[in-house]
Amino acid sequence: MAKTANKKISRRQFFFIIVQTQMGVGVLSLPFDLHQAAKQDGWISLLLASMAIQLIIVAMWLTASTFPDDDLIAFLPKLFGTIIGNLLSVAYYLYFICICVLILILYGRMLHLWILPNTPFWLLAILLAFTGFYLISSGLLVMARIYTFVSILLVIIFFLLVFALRDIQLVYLLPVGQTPVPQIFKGAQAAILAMLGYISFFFLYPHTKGTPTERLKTMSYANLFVTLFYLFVVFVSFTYFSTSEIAFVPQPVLYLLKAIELHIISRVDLFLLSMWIVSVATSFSTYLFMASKGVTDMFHSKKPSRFALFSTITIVIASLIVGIDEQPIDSFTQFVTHVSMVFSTAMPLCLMLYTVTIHRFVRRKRDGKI
Amino acid sequence: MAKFKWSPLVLSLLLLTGCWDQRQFKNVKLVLAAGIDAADEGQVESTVVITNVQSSSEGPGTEQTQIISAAGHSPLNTRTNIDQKISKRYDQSKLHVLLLGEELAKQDIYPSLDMFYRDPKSNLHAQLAVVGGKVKDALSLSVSGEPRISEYITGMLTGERRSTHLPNTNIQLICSELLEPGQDFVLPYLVVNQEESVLEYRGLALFSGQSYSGRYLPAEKAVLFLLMKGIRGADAQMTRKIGGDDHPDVNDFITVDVKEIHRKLSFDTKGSLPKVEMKLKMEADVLEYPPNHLQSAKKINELEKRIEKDLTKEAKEIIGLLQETNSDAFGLGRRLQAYHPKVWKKLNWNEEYADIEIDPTITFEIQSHGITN
Repeated sequence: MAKTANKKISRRQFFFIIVQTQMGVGVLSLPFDLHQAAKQDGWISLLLASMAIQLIIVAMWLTASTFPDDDLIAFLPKLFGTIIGNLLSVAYYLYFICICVLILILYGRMLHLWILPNTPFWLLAILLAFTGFYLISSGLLVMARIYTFVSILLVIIFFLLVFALRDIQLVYLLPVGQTPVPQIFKGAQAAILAMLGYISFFFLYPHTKGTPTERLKTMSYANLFVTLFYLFVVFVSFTYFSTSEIAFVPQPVLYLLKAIELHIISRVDLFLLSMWIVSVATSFSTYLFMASKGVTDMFHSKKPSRFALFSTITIVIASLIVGIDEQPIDSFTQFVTHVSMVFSTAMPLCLMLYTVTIHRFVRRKRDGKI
Repeated sequence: MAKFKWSPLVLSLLLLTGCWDQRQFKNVKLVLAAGIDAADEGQVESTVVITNVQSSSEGPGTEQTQIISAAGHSPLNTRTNIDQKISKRYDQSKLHVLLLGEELAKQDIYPSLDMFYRDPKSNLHAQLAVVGGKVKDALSLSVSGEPRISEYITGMLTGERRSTHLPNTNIQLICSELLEPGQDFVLPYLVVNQEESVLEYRGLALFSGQSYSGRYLPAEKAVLFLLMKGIRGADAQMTRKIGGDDHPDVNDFITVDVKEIHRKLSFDTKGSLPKVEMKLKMEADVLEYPPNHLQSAKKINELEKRIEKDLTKEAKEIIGLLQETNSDAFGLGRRLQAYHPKVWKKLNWNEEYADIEIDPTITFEIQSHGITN
């Protein structure tokens, strides 16, 4: 670990960490969520969300490049002073823990519904949480290698969905533009939720090789890649299911593969589900990594795994308290959506504004340039 | 870190050994073909075919089939009742064929399919068909040379699909058309031939909304109907009369295989009701034409005109039948909604569909006539 701890990750690895973090638990239900909000115009919402995220990425980049060697938890106190900075760090820590809990219960629910109706949730939660813990305790470089390696699964998922293309009806995408604009924006909110992982930029930026512009470019490519992949998934689901049918199918991606039979694999949906778990585990691990990194730095500790273990156990217990019944999950999802709007969209923008105006001004003054 | 070195191993030992969700083959009876009939007093009756494999000490085991029926309030209720008549429990996750009795299909078919849509284990690519008469009779047939009725029926339906007599249907594929307004579907219509002890494919059962309209499109018209839908199997053969008088002989017929079809739909929304124009362009090979004079372009042209006229007339008949049964199997309503959403909103499609004007025009082109003239 000591060997790899201070090594920077390459830009390719950076790309795959962002992609794997952004894609995760949401991909299976994304078409349904979009459709609920914006009907067959949901893909417009997706594009809107992607553009909004691109703006946020630029904002994050402006902030992060001011502090080239610090991650979020390290530069918050530098920006706002120790007290407010640390308070914000704690808030971010709790936010990451909440997202981990959400990922865990959504994953537990999906497995419970689709393949493991009798297996208790605590077991599924522990399995995923400790896989994540194991992964992050090896450090960022090892994580990056694993993420890059498992990205081959995305290619397989893509080709599985291609099989559905022969039964699609393009007419289901039409008429375009019948959804009122507020609904489209609501859809965009749902799409942002499925693409949330971009906040990890703050943590990866200082550990990535390359000039600031190169890193921004890689980040933008990652966002573009996720958008295109999602767009394909949404396109297949919207045209495979009719406009009224998709309202009955909360996990359209799995459902459409359920009706496909290949020569070797009789139930393609279960095959996809297994690969999806990897995607979930990577998203989970990144958030767990950010949470434990944050709390370790806050306490200036030299023993990161202790904090990681603490966070993991907290997450498992919290997810067991929320449980996997429909009602609590829905309210918890609502809660995390609202919180995310603050921490993942509003905060990066505020940080950027604060950095480029007040902070720069103060620093220049201190340096005696004014 | 050394402390945690062994933790994955210990955790795996503790966590990966148990299995709550195993479903073992020895505990279930696999159902490969099933059917649902309407029974008295609003009940339904399910019939299932269970294949039992008797293992023997040498060679492959012998298969025996068991046909069980039970009535109940709902399809899943009948399943419970069937379970009470068989050893072990029945499992339909490998279902290949689901037959619907004519009387049941005339009511709403969605309730019969709901359990398949809801169950994560169900096999959504099971084939569906409507049986004239009782499903029970169809599944009880013992067809010589076909030990498994499920394989017999799927084989038959696959064959019909390849020859463009059937669209690709399964439980999942019809669901979109079942639920979507302005779009109806068809299912294969089978009847039991008791004398020869076989099932016969008769044509396409026309559905209106979620129920069988009670009429089917005869098999000889199915090819043209599917071509009009833009669907073509491995080949699409049609035999048409092109000459002679009231006493036709074999010389008066031509058989063609349609190779390519292009469809263009256009809506004229100026009037109070939309008008639909369906333009079809077909390119075909001649497979059989005993009079044997296909050298001159003029002759071919004449023949093409003749077939065009004939097919256009037949297309009108097909559309007439669809409108009569209020079955929008071409999905015209959904297309109207897609291209003219404002017009669609003003219409009550279910009521107006039968009255709109649908005008088919077919252009037919012979592109080759085999290795002789």
